[in-house]
Amino acid sequence: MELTPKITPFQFYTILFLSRVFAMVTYVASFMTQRSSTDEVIMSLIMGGFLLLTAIPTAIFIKKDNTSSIITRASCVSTVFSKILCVIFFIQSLYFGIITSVRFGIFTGSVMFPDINIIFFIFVMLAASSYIAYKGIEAMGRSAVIILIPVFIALIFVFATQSKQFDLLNFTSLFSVDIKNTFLSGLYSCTRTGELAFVTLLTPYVNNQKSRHLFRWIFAIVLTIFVSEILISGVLGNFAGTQLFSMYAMSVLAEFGFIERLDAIITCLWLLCAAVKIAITIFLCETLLSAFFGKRKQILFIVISASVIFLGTIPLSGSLITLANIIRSPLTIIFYLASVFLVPIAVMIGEKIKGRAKLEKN
Amino acid sequence: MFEKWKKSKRRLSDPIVHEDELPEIPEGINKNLSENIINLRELFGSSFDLVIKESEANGVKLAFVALDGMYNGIHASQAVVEPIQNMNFPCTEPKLIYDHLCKFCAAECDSKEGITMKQAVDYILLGCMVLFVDGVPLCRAFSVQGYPRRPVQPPESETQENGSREGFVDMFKDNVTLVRRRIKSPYVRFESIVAGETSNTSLVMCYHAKRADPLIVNQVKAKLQNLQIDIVPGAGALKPFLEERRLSFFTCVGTTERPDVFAAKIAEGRVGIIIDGTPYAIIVPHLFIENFHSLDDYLNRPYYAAATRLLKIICFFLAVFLPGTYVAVGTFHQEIFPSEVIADVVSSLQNTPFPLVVESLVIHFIYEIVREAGLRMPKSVGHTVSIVGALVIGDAAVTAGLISAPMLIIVAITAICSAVIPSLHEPSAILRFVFIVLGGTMGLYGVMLGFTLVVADICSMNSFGVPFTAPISPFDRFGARDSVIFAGWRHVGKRYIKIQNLRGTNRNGTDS
Amino acid sequence: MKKIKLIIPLILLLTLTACMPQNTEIKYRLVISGIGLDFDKEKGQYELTVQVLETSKSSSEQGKSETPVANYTVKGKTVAQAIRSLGENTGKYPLYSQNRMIILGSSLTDGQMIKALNFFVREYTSRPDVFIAAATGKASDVLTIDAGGEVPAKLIESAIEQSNENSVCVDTELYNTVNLSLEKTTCFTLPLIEVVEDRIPKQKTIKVTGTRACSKDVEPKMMSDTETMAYLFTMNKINTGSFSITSEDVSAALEIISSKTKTTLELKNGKPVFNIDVKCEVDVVEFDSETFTAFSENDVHKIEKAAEQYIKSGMNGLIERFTKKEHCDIFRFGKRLQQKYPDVYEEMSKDWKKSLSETEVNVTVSVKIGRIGEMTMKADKK
Repeated sequence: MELTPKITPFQFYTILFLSRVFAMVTYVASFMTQRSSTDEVIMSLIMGGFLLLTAIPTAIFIKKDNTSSIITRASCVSTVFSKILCVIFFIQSLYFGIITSVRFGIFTGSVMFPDINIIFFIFVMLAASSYIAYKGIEAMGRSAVIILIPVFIALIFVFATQSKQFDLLNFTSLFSVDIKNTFLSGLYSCTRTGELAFVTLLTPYVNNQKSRHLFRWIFAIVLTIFVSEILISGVLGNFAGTQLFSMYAMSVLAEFGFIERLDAIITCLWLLCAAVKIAITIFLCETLLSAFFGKRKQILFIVISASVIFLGTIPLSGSLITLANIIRSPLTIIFYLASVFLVPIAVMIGEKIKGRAKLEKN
Repeated sequence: MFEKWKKSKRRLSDPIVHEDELPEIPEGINKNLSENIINLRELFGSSFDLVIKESEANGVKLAFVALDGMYNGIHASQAVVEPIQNMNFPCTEPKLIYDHLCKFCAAECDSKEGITMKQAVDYILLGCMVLFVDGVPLCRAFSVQGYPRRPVQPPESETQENGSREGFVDMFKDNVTLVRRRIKSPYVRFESIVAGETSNTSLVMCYHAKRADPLIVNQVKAKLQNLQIDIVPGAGALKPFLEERRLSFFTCVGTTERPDVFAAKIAEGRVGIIIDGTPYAIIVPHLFIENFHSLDDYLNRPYYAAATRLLKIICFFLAVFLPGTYVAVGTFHQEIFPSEVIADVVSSLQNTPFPLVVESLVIHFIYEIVREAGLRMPKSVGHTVSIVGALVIGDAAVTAGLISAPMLIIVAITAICSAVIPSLHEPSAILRFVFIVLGGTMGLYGVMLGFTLVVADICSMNSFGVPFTAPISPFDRFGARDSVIFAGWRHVGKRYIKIQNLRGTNRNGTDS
Repeated sequence: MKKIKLIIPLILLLTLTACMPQNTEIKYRLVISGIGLDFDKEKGQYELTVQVLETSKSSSEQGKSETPVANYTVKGKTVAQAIRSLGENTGKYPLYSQNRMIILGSSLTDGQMIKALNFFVREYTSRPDVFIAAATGKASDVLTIDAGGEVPAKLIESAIEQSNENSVCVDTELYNTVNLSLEKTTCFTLPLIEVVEDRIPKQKTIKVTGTRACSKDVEPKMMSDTETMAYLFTMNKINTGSFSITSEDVSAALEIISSKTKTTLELKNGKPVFNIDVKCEVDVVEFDSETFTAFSENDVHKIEKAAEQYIKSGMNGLIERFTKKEHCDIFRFGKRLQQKYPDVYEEMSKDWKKSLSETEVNVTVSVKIGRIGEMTMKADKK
């Protein structure tokens, strides 16, 4: 019997944390709304609130049974239901994989290598991520922990060196633009990445997962985003609104004594998070395909998933406007709410009904 | 490779006898002494060193068979031949004479009985003197080996400041003795295994029966017993059979030339393999972080040990990443250069004809040539290599404008850094080239991506179930006291560590 | 099959190496150390003076008198056009990441300055922490000074940094300038540089003479170095610096050790009132007296009072000038108002010049003398 490789909760949530860091680095504020510095800070807290709220079904789900994935538990309710879920989650994973690749492409093409064909970079990134996914979740978990160290050091370096330039006067009044916009931005920030869905799908691969790990992860990312937004607003002020990637703009200013102009190194470290994120997405796609077809053909499924992501990225990679429209579309919210909120509740209800039916039968 | 070489050699040296015509080793020992002698002569063919001395005892014919040069003639004479020749036998029955011989000569030196002709041939090949008695279908092998042996010398590859000056030698029995002297425990087992279809090399598997994981011991034993190899020229030949994956830059099988290191690893529950004919012993499981460890770390103060280990880790990163990073910075990320030096860097690069990538690849290739030449060349001409290397590459190339001065500095730093960790020289030499190409094509992003792939590769490796990146990832609190830092014997010595108990060891497929 | 799997990626990688643009290498780049922008009103085009590092010789090969830079002048309707023509002239691609200074000539209006900086904000190799300065005359004159073997842009940068350290001028980086210029009611400030001629040796050098206040709605205003110090006190951006106080009783030279300014805002009868409280610690570096033993405890109090008066009068004078006469909000009063009372700000920003002139500002200063140097002082008789 093939043993399921398992990783620790710390390793698993490190992967998810790094995924979020990438989303934070490539966050384009102007997608959402007219920029107001204080509202951006509040938006991060609102995002945290939404995340906590939508994480409750997931937390209850893993508390009940932290050894089976949502697909396995759905198959206990109904085989057809689990197949449908496989398809939904597969499409959702591809969607988030494509968005991540496009973000990566736009980021690299705008600030790092505008002279070079970005399709090549995206191809290399996907190939590398496929290789990492092929290595398995153990390799991903362990390497995520190792990658976390330089990424964390880079974050701390950027945050710590901004203190001299920090100015409270750069903040605006609360809700100076529009309250509704701020709340919507918070909601979109929460829903634009699908990490929460990974929790229920990859449960069998995480050893002894508890809901407190999930909440610690939420706290960590909210704290990181909150601190970064405060610093972006306090240091850059209105300048952040003129830049496509404000986090990158802040990293350019990071200097300490003779250590200066290291933004290329810092940014490349942050871009590694994209590799981790796409790798876990491809791994998830492979797992879902294996669950759907009932057979494990690792290399084939990885190649299929990576190819679909690549093909989906090509038409979107050059266009910021198209990306903005996709991210701002209600489809993102629907996908998110369906996968992390409705589906776990539906599965738990299904399990309860099935359990009751069995009892009545007996 | 060896098969083809042997075939070609045979064609040249001995065209008369075809491979199919060579005699097989008979199964049993013939009662007739003459038959045995004929069989042996046919088996060994035209080899000049087969010595067969015939004698008799109480009218019964005897024959002493040995290989000239493999046995100690004086010891054999004193302990075996003369006593037998001068012996008074109370009977004339061949079997009784044989038993009397065995009983009497056992006191003078070790002896073993051989039942089959194959065993007799093996004993002859091991350097024993084998006695055949006419009328007895058995043989007696006397341990009177006397082949040339290298004395115990300081190890050449793992020099230590504070450690012992004894290193392994080529004779496996001497090596076993060196290890026994360091762990005086009856629970340390030394099991002998023969490997190599042609070489029949003796391997000795050592482990501490109370500390080693039986699963790991059995796995290693099974692998050694099922080796599909013709000749075992050294430890490196066995490594691929013990690794989980062959297609990796890094190996999860360790080697050492030091008996003290070997003994310390055995005490941690690992399995060691001593190989006859080579001073390098194998240790499994082997972790990545151990490439940065040395015996001196355990003998120096903890703060200095920690500093040295960190230095080695930094040197490894410099050796692998520095050339690629320099190429990446020079090609794509020029802002990283400090303002004070950028003008000098640009002016030195201005006159060079090649792109940075090509320049870097060429100079590193030349460095590898010089290094290899320095390794293989006789010592008497070694000075020539260093002079040619220094003058031609160092001075003339820069003056001629073929290579820029900053690149030369990079090569020098890389060379010195790679010499700090000899065990990682192979992967760092190749990875360096890979990262140069990555840096030249995709800048720092390519270098970082390559770094991620290497990390993922290392993280996916397990050495007999133990994660290769343990105790860093998955993090083991007790194991981490002797990883990047050395917490000192007061902390580490509180309880002994067992390698199989490190977090993430794959007994249940778990990483926790 | 396995061999093909290994060979194909290798071929791909090697072929792709050749596809990489070669001009990204540093030896094909023009390393820019400073840029000066002027505007030719007759022709209606920008005139850029681009200072690049001279890389044909290394620093060891260069003589001491040789300048390590070369200056190019390019023109164009837009900054981008002008800079692109630089590449055509030199055959190399400009590298902006080592650029230390952007000098804006006096021929540029404030609106043109913003337009010109648009290129540098957008260009991906240009860095947002590059210093911006204004020249009293032509920017090209500032950049082409004789720096005695050093890079002139580096010299100018050091001069600005040192002057800012001495609280004689502001130091403004590109991102800060953009930040302030985007505030509806705020005027941004730039350090002002003048080309002066040294008598010995006879060569042109630069001097930081004060600050220029810019806004597209208002004519540019200049501040002297003493006014700049008062401005820095108001904005809580004092580092160190020195000033002299002269009163009836006492004259001394003081060095600022630390200063903290707290500005609070309250509304009185619907009008904003700003209360600026300055707490400053100074050292006495020189005491004007005919004897060495004249310094007493009483003098300490007198000096403190005189210093407070000096700082307060400087600040009041500056605030009075810029709020009531120049109508130029360099103190970000509008921003403070917007932060705390956005509705009031919305109303007042409709006619901000009038609202600014009606704003009440109360300045309180307290100075404490820290050290008096190595000389002792007399204790007063009690």
